[in-house]
Amino acid sequence: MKAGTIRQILLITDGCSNQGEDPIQVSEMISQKGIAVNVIGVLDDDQTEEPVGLSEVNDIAKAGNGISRIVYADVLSETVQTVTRQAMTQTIQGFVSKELKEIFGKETDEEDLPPETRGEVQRVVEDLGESVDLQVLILVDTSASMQHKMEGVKDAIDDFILSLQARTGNHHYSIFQFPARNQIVKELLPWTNDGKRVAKVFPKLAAGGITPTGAALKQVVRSFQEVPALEEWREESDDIIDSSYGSSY
Amino acid sequence: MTSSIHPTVRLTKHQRLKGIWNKRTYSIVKLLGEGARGSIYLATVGQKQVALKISQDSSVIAAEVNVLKALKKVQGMPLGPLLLDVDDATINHSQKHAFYVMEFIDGVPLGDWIQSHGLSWLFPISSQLLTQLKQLHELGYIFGDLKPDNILIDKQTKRARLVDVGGVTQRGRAIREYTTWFDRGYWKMGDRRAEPQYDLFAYAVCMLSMDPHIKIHKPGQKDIIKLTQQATNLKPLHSVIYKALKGQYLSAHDMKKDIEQVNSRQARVQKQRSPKKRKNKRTPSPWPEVIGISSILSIHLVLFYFFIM
Ligand SMILES: Nc1ncnc2c1ncn2[C@@H]1O[C@H](COP(=O)(O)OP(=O)(O)OP(=O)(O)O)[C@@H](O)[C@H]1O
Repeated sequence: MKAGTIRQILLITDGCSNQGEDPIQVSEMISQKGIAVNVIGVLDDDQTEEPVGLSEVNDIAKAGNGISRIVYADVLSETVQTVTRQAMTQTIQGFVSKELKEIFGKETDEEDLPPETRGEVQRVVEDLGESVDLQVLILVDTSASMQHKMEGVKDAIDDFILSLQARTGNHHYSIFQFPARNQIVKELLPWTNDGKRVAKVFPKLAAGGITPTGAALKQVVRSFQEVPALEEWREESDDIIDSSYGSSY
Repeated sequence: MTSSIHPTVRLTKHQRLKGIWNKRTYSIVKLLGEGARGSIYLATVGQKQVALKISQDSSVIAAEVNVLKALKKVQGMPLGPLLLDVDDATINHSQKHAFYVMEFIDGVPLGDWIQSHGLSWLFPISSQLLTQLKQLHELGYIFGDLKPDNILIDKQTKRARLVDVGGVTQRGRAIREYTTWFDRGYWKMGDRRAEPQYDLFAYAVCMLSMDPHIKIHKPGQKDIIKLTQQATNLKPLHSVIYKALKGQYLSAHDMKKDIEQVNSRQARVQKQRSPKKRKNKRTPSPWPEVIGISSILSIHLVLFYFFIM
């Protein structure tokens, strides 16, 4: 049984985009490439309700086949884990349910299976979740209002890498910020699986004023082609998990 | 594919839930708790009280059921609540949700129990828990989300039981679910790979958090070893706690042996120091009261003695 690769973008932001392309459209385009877009909206400590701008957070994730959460900075760490894990499970479930339909006929949904069978399916999903290769591109909004939340973001990413390292499967992650001086996005850390490199990245973060979320998403997605030591990126293929897995089911 | 933000399912008192597959009917009594992955209700089936977990996310139910089934295979002392039923039900004539039913453990969380019964209870409770953890580890699983709230002391039997199997992870894999303060990764004392030492670390923090001087939930404190020094009521157990925090116990059994040794050493010392008191004191539990407030003084003397040596 060979598990394939799961690709995700994790966008950490605190507000709505105010420049350039429509992030929801871009997100949908990205998801068609087999990359899920997860979004975490970070609230200010004194914000008691979700500001209107943050509803975009949910829309981007929905269009991007991903998961979204709107949280305070102090629970950022757990949220990053949950969001990534859930999105990964969702992708695998999507794949497994496609397989199920082939086995049990068109009408079968996982929910229609008896609990016993569902337990078996869950086991397969978990095995895959533990062993697939995972590529996560972290895109951090560094606009002015995010400035005082950076410590929390850094801790959360640190903690997230710790969880990635505990998995059996391989992982790669990279970190981008937006906006940056004279450019929309800036690569802070190229693809790596070295956990110690995060610490060196963060002092470099500087905040800017505008929030070109859509344009930033559009630019970073290209870097999935640069993940080291992987088979050639195939533009036309949107297989997320190696389909050879199906034959051994 | 669902991307539900909240997996909780709201049920009201007296609401009836009829299983689609197994046809059993449950009557809801009250909400026991709501977590990130679903809700737990106290329910009745016939005259019997049961705990019912329901979630909008059927994979949560499937995953926990798999774990509970695996734990059922152990003979003797039960590990976690016994699984009674797994089914789906249509709620309010519309949505179908997955649920499972388990034994209801009528118990008190560890923290509340220690607060009202005294720190000395940590000895029998630790023995019971570490025995259960040892069995669990031998089965190839790590509990993961070990914390005082997930340790219930059964009101009837006065024995410790583990609940909430959401964190139970196969050995060698990434811990599925943990709580910040009990996670060795948070304290930078190790990784998040499932191994016995992960649970033993978490249990050491559980013990620590029973000391009234320790506020485990305070953000900003990052040094668990330093924090341990403040747990003055737990002095006799410090060496055990340090060892567990540093991952030096390779098995729950070793930790249990050390804790029992501390206990009997304390008992011996107390015997020598207060022979009169011992005569008219009849504790129902086989474990002498040793680190209650009354004996703090003697413990300090003992430690002093040990350090001189
Ligand atoms: N079998 C059981 N019998 C009695 N009480 C139980 C049982 N299982 C769980 N509980 C209690 O129900 C409460 C909620 O359980 P659960 O662990 O699912 O949620 P949680 O701990 O609040 O959150 P999370 O799901 O995020 O861990 C807990 O306080 C637990 O002690």
